[in-house]
Amino acid sequence: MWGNPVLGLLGLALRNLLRNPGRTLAVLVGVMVVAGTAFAGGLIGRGVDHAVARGLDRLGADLMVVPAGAAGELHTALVMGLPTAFYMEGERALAEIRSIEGVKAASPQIFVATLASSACCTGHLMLVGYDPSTDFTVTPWLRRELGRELAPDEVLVGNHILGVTGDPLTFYGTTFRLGARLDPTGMGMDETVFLPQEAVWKMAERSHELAEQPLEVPQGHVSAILVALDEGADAAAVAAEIGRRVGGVAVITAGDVALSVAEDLALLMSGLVPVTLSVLLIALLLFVVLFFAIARERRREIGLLRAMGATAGQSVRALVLEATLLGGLGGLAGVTGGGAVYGLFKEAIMVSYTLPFLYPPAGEQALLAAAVVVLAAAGGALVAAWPALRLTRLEPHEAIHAR
Amino acid sequence: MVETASGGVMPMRCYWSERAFQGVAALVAFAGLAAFLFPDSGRGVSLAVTGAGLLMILIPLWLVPTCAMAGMPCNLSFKPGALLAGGITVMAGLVGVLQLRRLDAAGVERRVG
Repeated sequence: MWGNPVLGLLGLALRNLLRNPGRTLAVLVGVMVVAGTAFAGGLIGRGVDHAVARGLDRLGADLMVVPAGAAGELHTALVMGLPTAFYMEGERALAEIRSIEGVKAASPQIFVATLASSACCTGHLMLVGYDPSTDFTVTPWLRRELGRELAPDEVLVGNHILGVTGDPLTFYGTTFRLGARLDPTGMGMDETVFLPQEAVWKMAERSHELAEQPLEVPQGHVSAILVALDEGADAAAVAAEIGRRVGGVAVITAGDVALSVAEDLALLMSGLVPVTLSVLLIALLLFVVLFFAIARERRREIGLLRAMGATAGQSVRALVLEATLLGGLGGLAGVTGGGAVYGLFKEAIMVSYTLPFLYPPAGEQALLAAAVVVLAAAGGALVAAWPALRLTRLEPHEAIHAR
Repeated sequence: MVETASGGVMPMRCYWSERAFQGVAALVAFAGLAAFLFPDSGRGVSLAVTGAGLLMILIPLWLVPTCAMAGMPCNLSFKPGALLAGGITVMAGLVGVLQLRRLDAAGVERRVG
């Protein structure tokens, strides 16, 4: 059945493992849990980094200026898309910011939180009104991907907003058409609707007649000012200068957003790492106990092999191979199970820890999975090497007569 | 709950999805009891449990689907939980079928307890 010697040895190792399926299963489950947690942890880490990189790249701004005290809300809106609305005086702040050395462009945005729809599950959305004449975040994307600006009744939606191109979307009594959809970023932008600032003003005006609740946006006010810096400009220095010249504002750098996400990620990992380490310890103990028991059971068998001329290495190779196989299979099951369970509860985990997430590229995921499987297999081989080495030190006659 | 224009409230469809799931879960628990009390029926019961597990998966996906908004509580907790519980139930049912077939083939007698 096993013509190839390597396959033959593998088949033998597999049969040996199946001799006591209950014992093997216990160790397999232990390895599986460790590998699954490690894979999910790695996936979360890489996925969060990927989402932050993609999200900040799409945002395209080096600095964001918001009213003092609104930085926390902006972070939640940027990362999770939780609707928020705050306003500050716009024109003077814009003029001041544009006059600062190192500022390449500054563009205002108006945030509006939609009313909850009475229909099931439409939920709250965040509308962002941009100024097409100065915008450097949405407009370049539209020109590149859509080849045109948005029509007055069109909106650009984040990837998670329901509907297809042309579908009607009603906000504060005004109906818009879905003009285009952005690629996923894993950040709050996926839950955001972009529309020209002019459309927001009109919607606010009409909301007094058409909406259940009127939209009040103070005239001349904005929610945030997005700032792009000149090449080589010092973001921290420009942020400090904006804070000094424009009173009552908070300046957030792209680095602040990434740092804040990293802190939230550290919080999640601080819960995950002790669990993984505890399970790893249990799995190691199980592995050691299992392979010491197997080594004890096979002492005579190995003694006979040695007496018939097999080298010490040859006689215990099967034992180490069994451990490698068990570790590898456990790792494979862990990667599959961990990936599947994480996939199911991904949204709940990310919402609980206010983390953005975007699956890393397939190649990166495959590499991570392969690393976990190889580490599990290598760990198994290393643990089994200990009882195997003890066996090789026994003289053949000692092994044969051992009780 | 959804508030209607007249001010009343009515349950969202995920409420009914959860109720249907609870019904199937109760059936699985009853099947477990039946398999314990009537060991001879074990294989058939295991097969029925496999079907019930599939039903547990199909309820939130297709039979009484939850809404399309990924951020709603039903999609964050109930749906993944139902899929996981359904998957485990299907596997447990299949293991039961295969294991009992092996035992039957070996002529092992089954007794209550």
